[in-house]
Amino acid sequence: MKRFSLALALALVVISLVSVGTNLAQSGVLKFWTFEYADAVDPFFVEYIEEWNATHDIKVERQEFPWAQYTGEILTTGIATGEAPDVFFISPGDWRRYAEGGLALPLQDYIPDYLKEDILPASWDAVTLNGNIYSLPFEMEPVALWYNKEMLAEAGVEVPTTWDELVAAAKTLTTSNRYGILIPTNPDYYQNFVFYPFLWMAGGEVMNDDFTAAAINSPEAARALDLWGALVREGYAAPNSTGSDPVDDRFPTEQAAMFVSGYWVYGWLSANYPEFVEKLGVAPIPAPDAGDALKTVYGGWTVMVYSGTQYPAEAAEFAINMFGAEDNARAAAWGIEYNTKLSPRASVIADNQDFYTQFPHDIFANEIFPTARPEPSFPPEIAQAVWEAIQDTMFNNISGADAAAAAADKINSYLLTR
Amino acid sequence: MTTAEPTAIGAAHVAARTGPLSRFQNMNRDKREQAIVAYLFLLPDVLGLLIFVVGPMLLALAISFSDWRLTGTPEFVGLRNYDIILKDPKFGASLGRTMLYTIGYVPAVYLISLGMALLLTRRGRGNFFFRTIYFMPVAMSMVVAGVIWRFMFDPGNGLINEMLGAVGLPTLQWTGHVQSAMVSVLIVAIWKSVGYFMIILLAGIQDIPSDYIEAAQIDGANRWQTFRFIIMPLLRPTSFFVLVVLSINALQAFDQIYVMTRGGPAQATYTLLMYIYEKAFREWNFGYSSAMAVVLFGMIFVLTLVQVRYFRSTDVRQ
Repeated sequence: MKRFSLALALALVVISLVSVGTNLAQSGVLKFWTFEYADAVDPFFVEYIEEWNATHDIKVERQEFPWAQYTGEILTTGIATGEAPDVFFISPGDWRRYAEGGLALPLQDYIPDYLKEDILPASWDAVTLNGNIYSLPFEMEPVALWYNKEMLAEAGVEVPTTWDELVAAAKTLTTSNRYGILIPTNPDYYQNFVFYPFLWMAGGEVMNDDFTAAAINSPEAARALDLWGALVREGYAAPNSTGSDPVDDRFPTEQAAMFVSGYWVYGWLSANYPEFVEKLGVAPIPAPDAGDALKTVYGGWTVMVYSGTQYPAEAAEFAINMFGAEDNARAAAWGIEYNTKLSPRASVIADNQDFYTQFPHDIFANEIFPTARPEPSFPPEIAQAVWEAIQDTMFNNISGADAAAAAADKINSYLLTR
Repeated sequence: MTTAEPTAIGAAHVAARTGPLSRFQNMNRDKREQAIVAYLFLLPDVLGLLIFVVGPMLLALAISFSDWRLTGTPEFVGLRNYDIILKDPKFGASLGRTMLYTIGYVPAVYLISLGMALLLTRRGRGNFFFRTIYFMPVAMSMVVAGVIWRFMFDPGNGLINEMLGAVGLPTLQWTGHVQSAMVSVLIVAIWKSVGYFMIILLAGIQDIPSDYIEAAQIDGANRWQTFRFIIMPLLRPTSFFVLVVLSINALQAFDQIYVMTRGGPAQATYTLLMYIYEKAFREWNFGYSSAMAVVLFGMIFVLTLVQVRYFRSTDVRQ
C-alpha cells in the first residue's frame, strides 16, 4: 500500500511536469490567426491553406479566436510572450499602433505590380505609413442605414434624408415594444467607426490635417454629438448593447425599426434570418440638411505580417496571395460568396457586374460606396477621447459642445506625450 | 506530539537532532515515508501555484518598476509609475467606483447568505433542493452569467423588465443608464456569490454545539436573542473568513463588468480592474498597469490585515 501511494504520487508529479513541457513551439510552420468567422466561411480558408500546404514546404496552421478575445488580449499576449502569429488579420482600429510600433513587416517589396495598380489608391493610403505598406486590404464595408420596410410603411414614415427627418422617424417608430433606431452604445472603436459619417457630414473632424492638434472642438462636431446624444436620451435608440453591436439581433427580431450598420449585415441576415430579408431596406445615412453632400465610412480588416516572423518571404507570399492573386476569383468569392463585402480591387467589381446589379449590392456599389472614406486609424488614447465624448452626450447629459471640448483637451494632452 | 509509540520515544531519546529539517529527521522510517508521499502529492499543486501565481506576481512587481510598451525592451524607471499613480485622476476615480462596488457587494452578500443559511438550518424536506439551486450560480462562469444577465436586463424586451411590468412595478434602464448600471453589475455578482457563502456559513452554524442553543432556549431566550448572543458570536471565525474573501473578490471585480458594460455607460462601472486591463491591453503600457496592480494588491493586503486584527481583538473565545 505504501509503495503504491509512493508510486502514485511520483506518477502525478511526472505527468504534471510532462504535460507542461510538451507545449513546445513548432518550427517550419507559419501561424495564421483570425477572429472567428461563421462556419460557412471556413471553407474559404481551408481550401486556400490546403492549396498552399500542397505546394510549399513551410506549412500554414490557422487558428481563430472569439471576437472579444481577438480584439482584446490575444494578439498582445502573443507578441509579449514571443508566440506571435506570422500572418494575421488586423483591424483599422489597431492598425496604427502596430505599424508605428514596428510590429508589421513592410510589404511593398513583395507586392506585385498588377496588384499595386488594381487596388484603389485610397485603400493603399489607409495601410501606408512613411512610405511603407504595412498590411494588405481585402475588403471594404461601408456603413449605411438599414431599415424595416414593413415597419416604416405601417407607421407612414418615409425614409429619412435629413437629420431632422431621422430624429422624427426614430421618434414615430419607437413604441413600447421597439426602438426607432439602433446605434452602437459600447465604448469602443466600433462606436467611433459608425459615428464618423455623422461627424464628417456635419463638417467635423477628429484631428487636423498634419496630425498635430485636435480639431474636434468645433460646432460641427458638437452638432453630430448632440444628435447621437439626443437619440439615446430621448429613448429613440437602445441605451444598451446586446454584446454584438455590428450584428444586433434586435433588428431582425423586430425590436428595432432602423439600424445603422455596415454592408456585412446583408450576408449575416441572409444566413441567419432569411425570412427577414424581404422586409429589408437600405439607404445612405442621411446628411444633416437637405442638399448636403453624403458621406460615409468604410472599414475592413487587412492582412498583416509580423515583423518578427522567421519566414518573411513565405509569410508575405501567403498573405498576398490570399486575396491578391492574379486570378481574382478568390478575392471576389470573399465578398460575393462567403460574405458581403466590397473588394478594394477594381478588377473584382469590373468582372462581376451582374452581381452588383442586385439588391442591395447595387445600392452599395453605386450610391453608398462612392461617398465612403476609409476609417481613420488613431492611437488608442485619441480613439478613447472620441468615444468618451459620445458616451458623455448619450449618458451623462453633457452637451455636444462640452463633450467635444473635453475630447480635444484629452487629445491635445496626449499629443504632448508623443 | 502525544502519540505513545515506543519507537518514536526511543528515537527521541537516542539522538534528537536540531535544525530546520529536525522534525523530518527525527521521525522514524515509517513516518518519513508517509511524509515523503504527502509532499509528493502536494508537489503538483504547489508547483502550479509557484509557476502560475507566485511567479507572475513577482514578475508584475518587477515590471512595475519599468517602462515597457510591448515593443522594444523594458527600461528601468524606478518608482516613476507609482509617482504617476498618485497624480492620476483616472486612478482615483476608478478606485472610488471600486469602493462603491465593494460597499454594495460585501454587506449584501453577507446578509443574504447568512439569512439563507439560517433558513436552511432547520430540518426540512426542501433543504437539499434549495441548497442545490442556490449553489448552482456558483458553478457557472462569471462571463456566462454576465452574458445571460445582459439579455435579461435589456430595457426593451428583457425578462426583468417584463416581470416588473407584469406586476405593475416601474421598469428600469439597467445597463443603459448611468445610475442603474452599477446596480446591474452588482446584482449579477451578488446572485452568483450567495450560494457559495451560504454553504460556508451554514457549515459554521451547524458547527455550533446544539447544547448551547438548547441551554439558551431553556433559559427563556427567544429566536432573536439566540441568534444575537449565541449564534453570531460563535459564528465569528466563519464570518471573518467570509468577509475577508468577499472584500478580496469585490476589489477585483472584472468579469461581468467587462462582458456587460465594458466599464460604461460613460464609465459608470469603470472599476480599477477595468483600468488596469485597458492600460495593459489597449494602451500597451505594461509598466504602469503592473504598478496599479501592485498598489491594488497592497490595499487588499492592508485591508485583510485590518480585518484580522479586528477579529482577533474582539474574539469571544480569548
